[in-house]
Amino acid sequence: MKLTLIVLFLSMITGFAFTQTKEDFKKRNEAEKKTQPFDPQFNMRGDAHLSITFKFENGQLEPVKAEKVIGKLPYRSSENGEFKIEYSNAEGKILGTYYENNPTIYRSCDEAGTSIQEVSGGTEITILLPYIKEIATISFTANNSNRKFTPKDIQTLMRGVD
Amino acid sequence: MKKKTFMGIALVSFILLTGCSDIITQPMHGPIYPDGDEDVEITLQTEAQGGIETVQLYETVSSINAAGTVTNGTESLVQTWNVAGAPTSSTQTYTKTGGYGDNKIVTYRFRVTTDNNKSRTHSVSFATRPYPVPNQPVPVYAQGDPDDVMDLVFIPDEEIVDMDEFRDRCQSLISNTAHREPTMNLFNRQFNYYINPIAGDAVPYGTGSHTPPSNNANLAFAEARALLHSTVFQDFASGSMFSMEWDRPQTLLHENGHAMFRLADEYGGGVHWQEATLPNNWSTLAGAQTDAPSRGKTSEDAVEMGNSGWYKLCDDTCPMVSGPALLFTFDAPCKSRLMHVILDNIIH
Repeated sequence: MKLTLIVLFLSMITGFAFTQTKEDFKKRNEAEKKTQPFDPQFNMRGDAHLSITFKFENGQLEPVKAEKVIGKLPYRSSENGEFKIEYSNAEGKILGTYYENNPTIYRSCDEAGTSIQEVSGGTEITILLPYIKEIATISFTANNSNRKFTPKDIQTLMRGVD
Repeated sequence: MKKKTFMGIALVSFILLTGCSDIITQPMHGPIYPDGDEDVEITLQTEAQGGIETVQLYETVSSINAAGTVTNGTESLVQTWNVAGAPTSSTQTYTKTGGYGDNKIVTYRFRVTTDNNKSRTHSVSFATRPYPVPNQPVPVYAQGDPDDVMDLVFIPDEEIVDMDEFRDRCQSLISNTAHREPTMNLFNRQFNYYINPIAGDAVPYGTGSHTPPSNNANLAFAEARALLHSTVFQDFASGSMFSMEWDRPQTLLHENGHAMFRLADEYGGGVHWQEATLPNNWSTLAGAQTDAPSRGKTSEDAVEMGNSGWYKLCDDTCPMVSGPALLFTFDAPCKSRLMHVILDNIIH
């Protein structure tokens, strides 16, 4: 009976661990099944997103240029985060929102010290957006800080994008 | 009789629960970005509880021109290993003597079959030097469509002169860091790695901004950009580009945690926020305690990070903590976030 209990206990423990592992493998296999293979001509793929360059001046982001760049917008959180980016059309309709690491700060997690500092004046900052020609305005919100950014009209820049 | 039946059921369930599992494959090649006439060693490490029976290696050598157009080669079987004794772990190595030639994209594919009739294939593509496409990041370890996987570009700092060592460091960061972290290794087919042909300029924290490479717009598709330097100084990140010493593997895990997986810092004084789905930071103690059981932790694990007013569940050895004592394993709350983002990235 003692051995039975030991075996049962081991089954429960390993079974639990296995369930976790099995779930991990299930997710891995799901991810791999949904992933398309690598195409060496990846620089020629058809999808695109927008790269908008801003200059950080006097605590504000001033638009400099807009470019169409190859590939899908890299992964961004659409739910919450430290820096909110919201883009709207000319009528003020919000077309989308996402969150990313705050590009207006330098964040040092180095063993030598952990610090946060505002980026230097004149620094160019790139904001990426989905390729939507109708985007006319971008607004920024830095969560967890008192910084206020004025929404930026980028219609002029967008006219130069293919 | 009853007792025997009971015991038999328990034994069978024990064997069933522990005796079957899936296959983990970890291919690597070296040099990671070889010259056209350089010997290339291709290795596969496999773990399979079912017992490894055979391993086959196939290769396809394609040509690429300056416009980025590829002339596809034909896949051929290079070698078959019949593995004696069906071990649960095994390593196979093949050496391509004399290299693959200039301007090539090599795709090697391993196929593993196990004693319990399971199989797994794993393909990796890499470019040979010279890579003719100007101003584009070079795929040195690519496995999936860049739109579906997490892309990391290694950028050399201007100070780096020995590019052979730089490339070796990049290989080490992939094989000894990314492949060493259990969750990233389990999902290792979901990552592409590139080397940028143009240098950037990393500067110490507090002395100004890093200068990105002149082809930075061509790297916009990547989730993360790592600016590697050899001189020791205090590093920093801004947006999705971060600097790091090329021999600090934990920095790569930590910064990738931010850039790729939207993981927040797990130390007081860092950057904190609470993701709506599977966060690793909580704005309240009660929130962390409530989530703990579903994140592989207990409510006692919920602690404030310094005096930040933010809370975490991970152990102090999780890579999202800062310090020299970190392990190469994301703790359970970060692990679940990694898996969520990898899947979410494919869908969106």
